[in-house]
Amino acid sequence: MNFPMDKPIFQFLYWFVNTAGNGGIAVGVLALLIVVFVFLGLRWVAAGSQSDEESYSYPTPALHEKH
Amino acid sequence: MMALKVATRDREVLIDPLFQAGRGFWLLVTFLLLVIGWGVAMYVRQVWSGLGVTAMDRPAYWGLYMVNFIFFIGISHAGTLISAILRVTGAEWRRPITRIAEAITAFALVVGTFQILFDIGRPDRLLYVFWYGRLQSPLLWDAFSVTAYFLGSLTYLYMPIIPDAALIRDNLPENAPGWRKLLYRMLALGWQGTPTQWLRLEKLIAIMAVLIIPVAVSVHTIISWILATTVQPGWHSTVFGPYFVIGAIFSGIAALFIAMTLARRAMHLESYITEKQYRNLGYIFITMAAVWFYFTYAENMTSAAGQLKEEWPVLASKLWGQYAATFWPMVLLMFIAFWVLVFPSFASRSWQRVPIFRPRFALSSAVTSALLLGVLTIPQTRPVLTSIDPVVSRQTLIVLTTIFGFLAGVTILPWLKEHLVEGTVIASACVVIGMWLERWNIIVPTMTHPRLIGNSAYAPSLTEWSLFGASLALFVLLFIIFFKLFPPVSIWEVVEGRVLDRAQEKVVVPMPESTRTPASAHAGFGDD
Repeated sequence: MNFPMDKPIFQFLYWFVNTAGNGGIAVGVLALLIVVFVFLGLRWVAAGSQSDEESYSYPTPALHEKH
Repeated sequence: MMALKVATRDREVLIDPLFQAGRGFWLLVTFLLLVIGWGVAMYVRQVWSGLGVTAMDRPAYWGLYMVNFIFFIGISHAGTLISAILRVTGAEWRRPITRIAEAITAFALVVGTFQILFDIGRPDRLLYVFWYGRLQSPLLWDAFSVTAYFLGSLTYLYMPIIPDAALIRDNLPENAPGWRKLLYRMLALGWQGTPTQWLRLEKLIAIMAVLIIPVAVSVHTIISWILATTVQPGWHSTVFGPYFVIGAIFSGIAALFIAMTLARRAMHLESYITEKQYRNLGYIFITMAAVWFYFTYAENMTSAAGQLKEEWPVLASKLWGQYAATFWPMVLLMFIAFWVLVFPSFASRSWQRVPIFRPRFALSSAVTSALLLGVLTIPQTRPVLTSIDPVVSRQTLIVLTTIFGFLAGVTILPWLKEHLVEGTVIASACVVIGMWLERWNIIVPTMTHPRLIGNSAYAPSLTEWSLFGASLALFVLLFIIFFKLFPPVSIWEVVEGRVLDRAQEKVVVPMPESTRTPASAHAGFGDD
């Protein structure tokens, strides 16, 4: 039985995995996603200092339970 | 803004030394820079003259650079993976060693990636992976997973540094230079240690820990697929993925042991990195050693049983051919490591009363065994004594080598039992060298025994050895510079652990209820 290459989904997948340059774009997109995730995460952590709360040099589970 | 406080002891051991550098430090940095400089010169020569200055030629297109690439990426599993697994499972003893582990990951990935640059000859061709990369290529998958692992590891290393950078910022010694003040202020991201910040940071670290584990596993699986998706004799194997991952974790733990011992000695961290870390990580190390032996046996046994005409010469070259000189030392080193880790626990202190259980006796036995092994393996052009039958003399030598080797192993046991740290470092050194040999035994014998061309030989050139030396020097240099800027032990995590330990000491754990007590009265069964 021949592979059903006439179906659009397989035509798309064939193009997707075999076209030169698509891999580089995929790596670029992944790197961009990670950098954005890290940037947003760090900004979220840094923004936590704006709250008017006590300062602690180290955490304990009790600190998290209290807040 | 309130300054964050740090205990005097922690400041003296973990922060103040960051701003002091003795003559030994500068001498080491100078030596490492010289080695790196030599490597740079050899690399420039290679780029100028082409890959002809290496020993890589038909059919061995991959050699020392590829061996080093797999080796360094394997070492990188020390850190983030081990640290993430221990963090996710809540292993409290991890606290003093996580930063060293994570630093190894980041630097080993940098040095590992350089090997690809060396291997491809013209560095500009690295961009071809991205310009012309196709998603069906394992090389592209590798670029994908290594990129994800490197960025993830760098973030995972940085996140726990944020509170420490703030602690250093607020407790700087008076002689701190201006650029260091600026560095810690920037890296601290305005950290004030509010409950909201702690909650968010720990959430982010937990998310990263969970995400990084599958990425780390994928990295070495994909590196194995670069080999296994070809039909080269000896590589086309389904077991390569897990085999590489196990080997990576195994060599990673060994590298971590060596690095944490060096840091412990050089920075006087004995009160932070204690025998507890060596013992607990040692259990994982022993497990990895056993699993590594299992996979090595499984991999080679299937080749031996199949006896395919293309694969058999590869295995034969390792068992008794031109690569026996790297295969059997690998097995021996791994066996020594396993022995050093496991068997001291069977030794009794009373053995020390017997005079032969001394390190000097063990050492002399080991040297005798090694000399006999040398006599056995070095080809003899003519018999020493014609009156002795060569077969009998060979068998006698084998028996004597085994006896002296066994004596060395047994008589050192009481010393190893008393010296856990030293014993672990000896085992780790064996594993690091053994794992490098394993990478060599995977790459080179297959490359020199291809399907269409007859057997060939490969011996790395001076250029390749120089770049290997420079890579090691760069790895060490990055490591020591990093730990001149940041504490080798995560201050806040260790302090938290100390507080939790003290709280646990106050808890009185009740005795279990006797079986004579009626079952209905057993609080432990949830019937109270």
